[in-house]
Amino acid sequence: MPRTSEEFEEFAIARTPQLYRAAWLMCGDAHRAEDLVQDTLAKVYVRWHRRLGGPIEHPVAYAHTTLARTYISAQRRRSNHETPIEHLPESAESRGDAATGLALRAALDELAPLDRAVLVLRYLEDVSVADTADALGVSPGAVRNRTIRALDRLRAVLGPSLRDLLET
Amino acid sequence: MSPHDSGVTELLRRASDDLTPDVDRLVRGGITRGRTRQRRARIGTTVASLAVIGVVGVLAAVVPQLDGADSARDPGIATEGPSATQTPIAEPPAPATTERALADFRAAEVPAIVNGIVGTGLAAGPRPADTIADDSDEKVAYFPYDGMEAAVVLQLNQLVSVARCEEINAHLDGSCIELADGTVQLTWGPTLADGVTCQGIGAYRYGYLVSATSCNAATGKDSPQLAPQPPLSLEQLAQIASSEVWFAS
Repeated sequence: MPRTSEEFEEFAIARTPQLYRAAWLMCGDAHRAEDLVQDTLAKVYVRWHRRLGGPIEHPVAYAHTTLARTYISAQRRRSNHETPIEHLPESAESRGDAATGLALRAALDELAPLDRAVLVLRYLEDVSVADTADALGVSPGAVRNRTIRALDRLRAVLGPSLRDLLET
Repeated sequence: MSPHDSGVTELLRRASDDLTPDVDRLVRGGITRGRTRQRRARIGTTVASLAVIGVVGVLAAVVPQLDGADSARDPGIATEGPSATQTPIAEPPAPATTERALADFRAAEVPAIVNGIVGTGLAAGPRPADTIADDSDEKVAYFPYDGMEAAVVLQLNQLVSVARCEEINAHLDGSCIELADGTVQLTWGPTLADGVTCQGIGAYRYGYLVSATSCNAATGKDSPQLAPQPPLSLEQLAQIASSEVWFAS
């Protein structure tokens, strides 16, 4: 039995802030993040009302997987045209919380789209390696490698220790 | 999770704590897009069902007669007199500004379809790591063409005008034009990025963006160049992006 439109709306209202947060971290851009969230909600909406196949078993996980896959699909078309920034942003150390946020956003801009998605799923959404691999259509080994590479890159941009940044 | 990992989580949260999305607007937008997708899927299913029982041809002949006075018509097609009822005339493709459902094909079949369009036989099936998406209203297919990365992507997109195309694709440094049938076509490249040269065509038509891309390396990033230029020319990519084969009749 499919769920109702009212239930979908309740679900969407409850989950959109977190979906938007993940989308923003992946896209690094408010307009693209909004577009991504709406595309994600649209796909979940269709699946939510589908008569065949029964209700979505884990709607929250389904929505975040859909968001990640939609992001990767869109980025694959863009990835050949991205221009890396020419110089690294200044270290955020001792510049306070807002500056740390800005520096992290700039650092995320330096990562490949798939690496950003891996970081967001694993560390913001707390998704396991296996489920991250499943969501992004790559192997668990690739998730681990991309995680290491992304963390290395963040360390290079943000300073010698990410943990130190939290104590500033 | 190690203490180091917890630090990453905290950083990601801090970096996004100040975001204040307009939740109501996003949810409304999502529901509207969702309904559009549902409608398209239903249209596609209906057309496929009608085709199976062979009534599409009958409808094609009958529907023009049922059109109201405001319907857009080809002025060259007679609407009165004996010939209008006795000799069905093949309908030209609908204007690109109308909405259509995707044809019934799987993303894995895209390379074969591309071979049919360009007539070269150089497109091969997707590799294990290639991205494939196979929804009823979205197709994404990455595959090797002459051993080099190519992609065809069809995604819902309610564009557009040439100005909006240029605005959206400013980062591509491409050019947007409007074709005679109303298609807004984006041409970009050849562009060298990440050591690989790629080029592509994006055609906004029938409520979709049909993108065709070709690169001169096995993958689009950090991969040795295998040819001076992408193997699919812009003309061939335009042929692919503008093909009627992607859409239900």
